[in-house]
Amino acid sequence: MADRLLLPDRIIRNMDVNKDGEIDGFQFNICNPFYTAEPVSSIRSIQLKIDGDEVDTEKTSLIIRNQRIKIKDAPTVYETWWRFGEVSSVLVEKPGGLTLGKHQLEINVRMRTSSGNYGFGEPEFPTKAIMEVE
Amino acid sequence: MSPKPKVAMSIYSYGADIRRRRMTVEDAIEHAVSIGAEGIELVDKQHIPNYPYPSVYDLRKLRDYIESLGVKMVCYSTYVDRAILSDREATIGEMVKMMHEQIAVADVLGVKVYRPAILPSARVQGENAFIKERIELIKEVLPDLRKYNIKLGMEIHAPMQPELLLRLAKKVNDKSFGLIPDFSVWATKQALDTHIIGKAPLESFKAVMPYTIHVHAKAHMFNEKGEELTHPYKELITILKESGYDGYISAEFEGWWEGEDYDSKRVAETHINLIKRYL
Repeated sequence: MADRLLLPDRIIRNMDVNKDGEIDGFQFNICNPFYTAEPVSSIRSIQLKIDGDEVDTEKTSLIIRNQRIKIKDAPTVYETWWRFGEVSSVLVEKPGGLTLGKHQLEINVRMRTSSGNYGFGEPEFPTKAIMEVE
Repeated sequence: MSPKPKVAMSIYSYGADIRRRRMTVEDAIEHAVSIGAEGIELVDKQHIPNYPYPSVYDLRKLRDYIESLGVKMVCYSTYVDRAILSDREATIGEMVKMMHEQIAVADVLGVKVYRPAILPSARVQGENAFIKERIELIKEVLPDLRKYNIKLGMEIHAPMQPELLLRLAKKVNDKSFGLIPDFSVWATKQALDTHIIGKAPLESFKAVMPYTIHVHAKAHMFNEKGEELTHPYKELITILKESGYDGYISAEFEGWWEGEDYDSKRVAETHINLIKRYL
């Protein structure tokens, strides 16, 4: 049920990531869905689909307290922790970003647990929502 | 007059509101004191500012805030993380390092009971291995605990058997070590899929009393009369009173942890009133 907490709002923003005046990606907020803080290394994957189309993980990053961490590098980021209830954001590189208006987002955050084995299997938080690109 | 247990609040209970950023940790502490909590318990991974690297300033500010309300922090609950690294479990040395750091934080916070949670591991199989690993860890930090005058409480939490932790306490046999029984071991009904219940006989709760240094009054579900439906509160609190236990009973509401939303303030007040009713 913590999947309901994953998306704290329904807004996607187009971004000019490299500050060259051109839109080259889009970004939306996500909240740590686990019941404690976890190191970024606990994130196994963030799987995304926009309007049914899968997003390339290579193009996906987590922005946590102004630090951009590519999802493929997450398994080795031990020292940066996603805090309890902390809102961070997901950035996807995409030339031109997304068209304005509504888009369906499907997201699943799969995690390990840094404390050890809780006995419930590894947590994952699949959810979907209609987001608005502003 | 015989000694009586005191009531504390674990700020864990306010998880539904804190994770949704409707309350800060300080808001929850203030509320807990306003409804009669005589002590505060914090969980490292949920409540410590700038976790896992709080500054001494952060910690002193938190301690000063708690004490400005006329109470103290009575338990620091932490996790000793086996699995931070993606490719292997922590070594004993790495776990000891975490415990040393946690004890230092406990000292800055002015707390005298420290509860490190050590979760199961594939490499620690069976009761003897469980005891052996815990003794290895505890022995390494005992000098620190004695120096800082802090007790390490090993929690008895479902699905653990109380007899196993009793065996551990007898082997350690040190006044800097004790047990923290969590009501979940004696729970009678299951509320959530992830709610592990022990259904242990009440005699086993009596048996751990001589080693008990802190108590977690676990709760999952209340009815409209303010009774908790999944643990035998009246019986457990009666045993605590009759044993002469004069430490803290820390209210620990867990119904929120899978994602369910609650009015934490209302639940916390119901919970504290329930404990006080039976004291």
